[in-house]
Amino acid sequence: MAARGCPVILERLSFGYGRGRLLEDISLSVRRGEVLALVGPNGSGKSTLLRLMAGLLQPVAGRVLICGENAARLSRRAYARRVALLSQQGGAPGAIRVRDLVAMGRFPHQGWLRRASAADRAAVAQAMEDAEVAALAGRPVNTLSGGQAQRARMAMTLAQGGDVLLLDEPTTYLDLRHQFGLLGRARRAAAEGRAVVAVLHDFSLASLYADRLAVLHEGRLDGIGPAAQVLDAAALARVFGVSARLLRDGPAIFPVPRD
Amino acid sequence: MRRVLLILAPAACAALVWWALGQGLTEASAAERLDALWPGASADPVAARLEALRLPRIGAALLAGAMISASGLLLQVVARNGLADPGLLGVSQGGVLAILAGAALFDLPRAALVPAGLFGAMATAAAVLLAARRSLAGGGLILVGIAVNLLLGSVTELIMTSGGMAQYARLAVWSRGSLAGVSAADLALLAAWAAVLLPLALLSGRWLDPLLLGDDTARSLGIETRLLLPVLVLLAAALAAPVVAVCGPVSFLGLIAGHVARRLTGGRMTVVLPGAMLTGSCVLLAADTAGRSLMPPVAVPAGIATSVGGFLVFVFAARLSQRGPAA
Repeated sequence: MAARGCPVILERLSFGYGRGRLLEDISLSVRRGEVLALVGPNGSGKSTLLRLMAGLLQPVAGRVLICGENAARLSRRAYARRVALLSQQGGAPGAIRVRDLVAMGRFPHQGWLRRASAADRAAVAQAMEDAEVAALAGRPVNTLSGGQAQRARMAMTLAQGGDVLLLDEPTTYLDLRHQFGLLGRARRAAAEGRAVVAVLHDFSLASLYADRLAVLHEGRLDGIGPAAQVLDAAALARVFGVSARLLRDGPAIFPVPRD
Repeated sequence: MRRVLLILAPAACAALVWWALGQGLTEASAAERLDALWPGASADPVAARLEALRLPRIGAALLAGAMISASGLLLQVVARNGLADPGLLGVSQGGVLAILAGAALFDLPRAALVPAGLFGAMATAAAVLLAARRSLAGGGLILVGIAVNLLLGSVTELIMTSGGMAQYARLAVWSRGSLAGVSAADLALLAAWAAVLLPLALLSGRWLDPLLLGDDTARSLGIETRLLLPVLVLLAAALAAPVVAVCGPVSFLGLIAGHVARRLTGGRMTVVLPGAMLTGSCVLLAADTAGRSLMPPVAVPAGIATSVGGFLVFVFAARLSQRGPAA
């Protein structure tokens, strides 16, 4: 059963507005237990691809399978129980407290007359622990720093649970310790049996924390595989238009400009 | 702080009712007020007059305040803009225009004016919703609303200035929002709408917080925003329409009550929304009562008194929330 091992399968996916295509003919699958990093230059279609996986956009050709089911046929609620997204757009939750924000992650698991079950409360407490915001639980979100707010939103996404975790530039605003912490948590989510996809800009973080990298270039998949395979000087020149060499330290890869 | 408010706000409401019942040309003793509040017709003549004249006005103020405030808060969440208010949907102007046109041009009887206003308000809101359907959360709703308001406003002015001076003055008072003419039948109309819509609004509270996180996140949490947003706009219009039809546009209250409640209670919309309703009820009743009793014989229309009262309450709440942790 390929579907059971791969909660996310993209089959010849294309997307665009009008005649222009932002993404063209993308096929890939993400396995349980795996962290896949989406990398590529600005405007290469990383976030668009992530939003297609999240069911927020409808492909103009091809299809998305979530846990073996055609994504186009899933209700929003059914989707939300399977796929959690840490979006880039902040929104303005205002004076809401961190614990209330995190509790919103349980929304798709609750009925009309909201009743937080013991399982909901446990998931919320665990997620706050994991995203290191337990100490901020009583703070209004609008009093947090950018990094603290990002961790609070990560906690909400973790509390949502499901088979697939999608992270759009999750390390934005985070200091080094919390970048390591958040991506380490993403790795553990994969180890627990989820499929994790993260848009990342930092190659060293991508090479350290992702099992595979999908390199996007002008809306097409330029390559997909372990960092050591897809990242080389030729790929950086072709995709990013930079002349760089790569320093390696264990699994980590650091691009440095030549000259 | 939140628990204190939970007791304080209904108590303030009750005290206001007591005060409002006693204010006016007829002096009313405590016994007479109690008699008027007691269910069933009062035998005492003073109590009977309170019951016939002041109670409908008080009840209408409480209901209209709650409805217009809930309407404003819903729209602020949908448009993700703290400056949205029920007037934005064209509900106010649509209702005003329908009633003015009905009275001045078609000579409709008074009993037919309220349904006419209701129809005008809902029809305008539906038109605005239809025109702005593609960008409810963006600036679309606000832009279309402003344009429609300007258009309807100029037509309204045209009708008002085409009549005689006496007619203009009478219409001007009503078109600023007034509870002066509220009858028991008007109260019954408000109550019928409120009985359906206020519980619906409270029930919608649990969808409002995720909406504030942005469209992507709300949808990722399982909310079909393309269905929910139009439903909330319709609900907001339906909440405001009967208020406009009965009292005229109660300016400012729909804009301000949500902000006051947010300052006082903070936190989740499931708390802010009932808070805004209570705030609206209290402010409108206080403003109407103060307007008709503080400077006799001048009766300040509730719409104008509300603007003043709402402003004062907002400043007070803003000061309070700077000190308290509730913000």
